[in-house]
Amino acid sequence: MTARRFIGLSALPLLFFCRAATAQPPAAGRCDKEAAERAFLAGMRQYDKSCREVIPRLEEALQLCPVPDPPTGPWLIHPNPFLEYSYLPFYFLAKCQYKLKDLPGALRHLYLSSCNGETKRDKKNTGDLGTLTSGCRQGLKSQQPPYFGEGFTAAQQRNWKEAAEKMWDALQVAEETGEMKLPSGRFPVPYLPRFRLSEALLQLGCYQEACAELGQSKLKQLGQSKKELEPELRRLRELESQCASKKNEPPQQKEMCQQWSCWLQSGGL
Amino acid sequence: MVRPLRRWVSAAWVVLIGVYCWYPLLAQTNLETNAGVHFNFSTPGAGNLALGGAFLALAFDASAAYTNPAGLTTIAAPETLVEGRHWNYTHLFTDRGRIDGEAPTNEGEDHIAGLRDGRAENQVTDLSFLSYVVPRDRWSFALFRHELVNFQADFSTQGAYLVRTAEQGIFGIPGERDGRLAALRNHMELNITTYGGAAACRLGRGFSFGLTASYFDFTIDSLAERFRQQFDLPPEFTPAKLVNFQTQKGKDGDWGFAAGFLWESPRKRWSAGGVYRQGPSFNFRARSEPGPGLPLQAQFPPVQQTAAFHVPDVWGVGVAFQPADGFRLAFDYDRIRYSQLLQGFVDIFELATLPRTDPTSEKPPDPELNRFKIDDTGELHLGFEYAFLKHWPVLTLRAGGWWEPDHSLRFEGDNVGFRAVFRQRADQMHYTAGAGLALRRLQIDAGIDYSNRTSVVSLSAGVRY
Repeated sequence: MTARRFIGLSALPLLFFCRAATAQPPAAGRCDKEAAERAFLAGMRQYDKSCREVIPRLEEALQLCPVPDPPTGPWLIHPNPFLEYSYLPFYFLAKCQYKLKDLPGALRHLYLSSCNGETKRDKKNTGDLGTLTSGCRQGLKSQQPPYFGEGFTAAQQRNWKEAAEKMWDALQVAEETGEMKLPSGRFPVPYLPRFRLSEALLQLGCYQEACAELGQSKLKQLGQSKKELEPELRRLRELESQCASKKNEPPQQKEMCQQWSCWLQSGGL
Repeated sequence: MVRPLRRWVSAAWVVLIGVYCWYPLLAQTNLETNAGVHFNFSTPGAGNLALGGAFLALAFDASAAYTNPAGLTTIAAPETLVEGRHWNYTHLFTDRGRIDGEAPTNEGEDHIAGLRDGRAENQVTDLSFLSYVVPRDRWSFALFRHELVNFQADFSTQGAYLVRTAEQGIFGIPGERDGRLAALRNHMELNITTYGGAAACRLGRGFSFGLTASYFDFTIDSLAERFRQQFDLPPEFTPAKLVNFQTQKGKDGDWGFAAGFLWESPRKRWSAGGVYRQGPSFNFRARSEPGPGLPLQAQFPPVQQTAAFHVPDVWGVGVAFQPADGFRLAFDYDRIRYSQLLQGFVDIFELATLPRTDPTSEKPPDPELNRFKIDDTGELHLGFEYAFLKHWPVLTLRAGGWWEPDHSLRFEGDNVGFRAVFRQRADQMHYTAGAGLALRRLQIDAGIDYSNRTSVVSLSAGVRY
């Protein structure tokens, strides 16, 4: 318990930086408060029984109102005089995903909870967010799920949203090494999740986020000693030229790119 | 997620049961030539051959279209696999000697105690497999061509001695009362090529399901000539001694289906797979005719029948484990229903209709068709491969083996001639090995499969687009 608490505390400064970097909540701008409350309450009534039932309700609430407007101050819901819920859809969604062992999903929603100011609005209820975050990260590193392979397959089929998510998940497990993996059959593919994440983000129209990630990729450095990375280096040059022309263009889907901005700053490693 | 899964499983059972009930189970003939036909049930692809053919739970390349269609869902991008194989068949047949339990007379050729096998070899080289796979979201589709049988046999026998008897059969066929088998000169070519399409779907929770529909193109051409010789002399393969001959000829086609599943663990370290492949049935003409050396009093009109050739159904299950990146272990169990070859078995000689040559016998010779036996077999396949991922191009070494229980046609009846010809043979142990080089979009593999009876050398190339 002591070690866990220590790890949780050590993750808190990261969250502080994350909050500082995202002064503008990524999901701000739309809110159907009454409908969101109904969906949130429907979910929370099942919270202690079945997380599988909770998740769709909280996702619905997030669609209706991700962030209260204005985004400061607590949003308390009283279904009856004796009960009180704090509207923290990202946080509770993350906790449910954590319980169901969907660690990357939980991690993403923990970051969004922080980026959208839920920790500011309700410090008491979200007090264990740092512990949960580091628990997710540790779990991912120890289990080493095959996210890179799944992301590679998604990218081959031009499913860029899934490709970006899986490459981000892979980055939570291990940083780029350029070493060959066999994600599908016997054809080798170098482990370059950050490079492939930036490629997917470019395809999704999140130019600023994609170009920032491309700049952080270790591909150039790794390519100097590994001649087998030549196809990726060629692709890197193409993406760099796209970045040069597009990085100042507004995002095609603002809310999605704001989410990516949050995830990359919080969990981009 | 549960409902679609149930729907798929129900649909699969309906297809399997329907397919199973629809097809009659037919068989072939009691011609010696058919005893050792070799089916190419092994997994296509040189890399998979070198893995001992243990691929049901891996099924991660374009050969899955034939091996286990469910595995097509693991393929990330369009892919082609082309394979060439060289087969070396060693045929074992009863060549000479005297049947067990009878002492030789030591006159002329009759000086060997016990039956002696002859060995003959045939070699066939051909394009054995070709496939193209396209993945689309949760679905994958494939087209393929596979040589299920590409078999040749050419051999001659000296004519073994049977029981001691003064009688000498006229026709020289194994089912006839005779003291010595006729010398046999044999030629056979058998080819079954499969053209198929496969579709597979990822169902969720690591499960995939696949179906294959195939058209089988069948040709058979065989000639068995019987030369009747003196009891104590070596055979003469001349027209004057040719007493009769049998032919099997035909060209036919049939449809068949296969269904498979694949399960992968969340971390993809473990996987399990299974497949059921239905064997097709074909018709061909089986004909027995008198030869120029047959005495006039024994002449008989040519006999022609329609016989059937049923490719055995196969089902198999496998498990694979990947303890580290690039290191894979796989094990398969395949059940092959060779006994189906005997259902509707045909007497090519029509022994019952031949002219009576034995005045002491009240009954015509009995072909005892119900005393021919062939067992269903369970093959065990085991293999491993290790890819040197730090080496470029990536080098992969493979080794494995598989156990092939005997599935020769044998005779357990009274007829001593058939008993001498249709005998149980030894089980075969196959040893496999191979290596491969993989680039980003091209992989080239080589593999060998060695056993006493059948050896295969394979070269394949996979291309990803």
